[in-house]
Amino acid sequence: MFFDDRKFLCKGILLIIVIGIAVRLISGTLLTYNYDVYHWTLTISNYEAGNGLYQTAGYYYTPVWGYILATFAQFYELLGLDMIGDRFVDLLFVEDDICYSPHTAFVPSIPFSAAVTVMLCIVDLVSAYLVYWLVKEVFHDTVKAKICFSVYFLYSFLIVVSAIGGMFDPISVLMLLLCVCLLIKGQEFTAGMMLSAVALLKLFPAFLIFLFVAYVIVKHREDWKPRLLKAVVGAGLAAAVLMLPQVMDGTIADSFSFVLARAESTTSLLDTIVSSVSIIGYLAIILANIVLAYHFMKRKHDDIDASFVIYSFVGLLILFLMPGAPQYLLPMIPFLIIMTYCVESRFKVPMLLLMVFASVYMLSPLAMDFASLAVYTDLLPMDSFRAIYGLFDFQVYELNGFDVWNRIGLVLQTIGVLLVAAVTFIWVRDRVKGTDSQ
Amino acid sequence: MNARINAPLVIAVILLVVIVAGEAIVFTSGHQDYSTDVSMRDGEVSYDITARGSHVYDVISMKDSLDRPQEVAIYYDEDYISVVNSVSVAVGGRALDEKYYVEQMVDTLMLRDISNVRIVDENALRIVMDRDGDGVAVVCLSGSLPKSVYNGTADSPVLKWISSGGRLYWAGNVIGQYYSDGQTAVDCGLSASALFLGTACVDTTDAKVHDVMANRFRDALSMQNNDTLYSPVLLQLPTDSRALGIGYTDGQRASVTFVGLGDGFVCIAGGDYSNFQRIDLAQVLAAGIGPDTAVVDVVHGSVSGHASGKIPAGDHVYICIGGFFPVYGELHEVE
Repeated sequence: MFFDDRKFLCKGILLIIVIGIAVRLISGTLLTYNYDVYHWTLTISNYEAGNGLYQTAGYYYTPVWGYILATFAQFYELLGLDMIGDRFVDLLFVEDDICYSPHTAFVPSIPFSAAVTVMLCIVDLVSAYLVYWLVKEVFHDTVKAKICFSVYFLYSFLIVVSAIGGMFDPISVLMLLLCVCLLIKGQEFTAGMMLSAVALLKLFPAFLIFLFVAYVIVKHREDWKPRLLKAVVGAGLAAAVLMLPQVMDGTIADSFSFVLARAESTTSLLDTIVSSVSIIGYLAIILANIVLAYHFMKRKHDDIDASFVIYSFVGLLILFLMPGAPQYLLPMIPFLIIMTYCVESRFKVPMLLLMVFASVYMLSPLAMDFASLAVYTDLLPMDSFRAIYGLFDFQVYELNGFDVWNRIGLVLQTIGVLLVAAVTFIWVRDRVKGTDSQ
Repeated sequence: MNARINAPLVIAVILLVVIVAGEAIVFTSGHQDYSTDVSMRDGEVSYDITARGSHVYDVISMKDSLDRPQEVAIYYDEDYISVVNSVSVAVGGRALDEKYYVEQMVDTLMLRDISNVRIVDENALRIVMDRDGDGVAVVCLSGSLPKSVYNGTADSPVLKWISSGGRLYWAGNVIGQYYSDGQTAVDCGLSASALFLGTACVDTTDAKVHDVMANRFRDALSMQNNDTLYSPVLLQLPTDSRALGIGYTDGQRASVTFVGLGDGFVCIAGGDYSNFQRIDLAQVLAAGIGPDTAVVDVVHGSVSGHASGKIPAGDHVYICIGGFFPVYGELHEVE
């Protein structure tokens, strides 16, 4: 049997781990979306120069990712690796194009990109283990737990985001999974700390706060108050510690600029409409999550922990019905995989289609992913890189080739999410009618 | 007794430790982590670099270079209109307006060991320019000067100040085209740039250029801004001009241009506002480059804790740690 139902590290799991690590190391070392990773190198140099995270331009997120980068940089430099990137004259032409996913002639060094890949590979592995842990704890099926571990760890969309994109969304997935697991284990104080930390990394998982509160109340009807108080204290303590430097140097507004920038009105009528729709959309999502939490509180649960996992999935699905950048979708993925293999097998097709569609969307700046190969190695001559880049050198109305791919990817990913939503609707309807297929 | 490890709790604690450790690292990192020193021996300069972490470095030996300025004044006055174009920034980025540019310029100079910086309003700028300009640097990012120091004529105090040895670093628009009379911008025409450059030779064609000047400064100083908008056309400068173009080029203009005027000079950074421009402007100011400066030699290496080496001597040595991701810079006079 490929997965046995005894210990975690069976032959099957070891093989999955080896394959997943190998795919990441090869793809992440050879291909890198240089724009985001360049900003990680800039962030490191800014704080190393004594300007913190926000005094000089380069870092536009809440502080937790910056702190993680700082610890990462210590390990990188302890290995004696000094070169983090360069600005290439041969690539200056790419900055002339205005694209949705911007281009830059700065290319992180291969050791730096590989190190980021290793860091995010470890994150993915730990997250996959938490998926395994969650399935085993909640659904009591070791084989299904291993299947979910494997599917998550080898999910191509996850590999593209972490290994090639070098983005920190996999860390928000890890922290969200930790929140859920810690609440299930009754560790409310640490769960509160983790919720604060994940909200100060990427805001999306924090939308589930209403459901988290509802879960604690329902599961611990006799002592929910002290438990919630512990969670609030944990959250408050973490927020205070993590935001203390920004309070001291007056850069709190800068630390939330990425979130606030989405909410600001802009000069053109179209931008104002889009911005307004976004604000209304997120308000609707918050309301929907409140309703979801209320429903959770009112409903009778045969298995409260299983219901919690299912409702978490639904809450995230509601959140990601609002289209956005491709990597934003990642927090929903582990829960979708759990739903597929533990709750409703009809999710399989949409889950796999979403994997393909989201990967396509994520790869829209594909040509730039080859930049480090072209400038640092002999594996791809510069002329060949220009030829690959040139494939996207066309205009459709005001969109260049990169933006066309980006828009197609957005449509495909949205279709994938809607397919997942459709199966969810069918499954809920069947449950209500008492005709659950499982 | 059930000795199963609570895996989520262990992982959470480890992750929180990683985050808080990083916070401490960010909070405690700074200028004090680096130092450089030079000494002269047998016509060669020996340099020593101390740095926390691992970094690349560049040591540039130059001749006809300048001592560190005794005073750096960055002009900024909201009572006088600026004539600059707004620029787009990365999503989530703070708008790169003049105020933010000035604030960042102070920090960008500080990491290059230029700490004697003050922000001056119109009144203080006038006082600076009423004195001898030798050893004084003024940075003007507003695209125009207040009427009290520049009125579009050859009698303007700023021109006398530069001629007396002042160093004017300029960005944001055509030098000399505008002056500010309170909230009114007076357009003196493109030809007014001749007052600073000797001839009207500024081309306002926007150009993001893709070549580098051959004089080694671009690599030595890790220059980043490849925009030549508002830069003078080098070949159109008067033949007796002291002029130096460094950085990137389209064959006619350079991304950073020095033009001598009397005993001083103007330094023009091309393009509208950008972070690349800010970094280059701070770099050339801190490195003591002037219109007559030439590279003697460049050493590129890496430092992990401590590094040392030798370089042929010139008048000054500028040591920059971090390459295109600068963390420290220091200018040394060679004696």
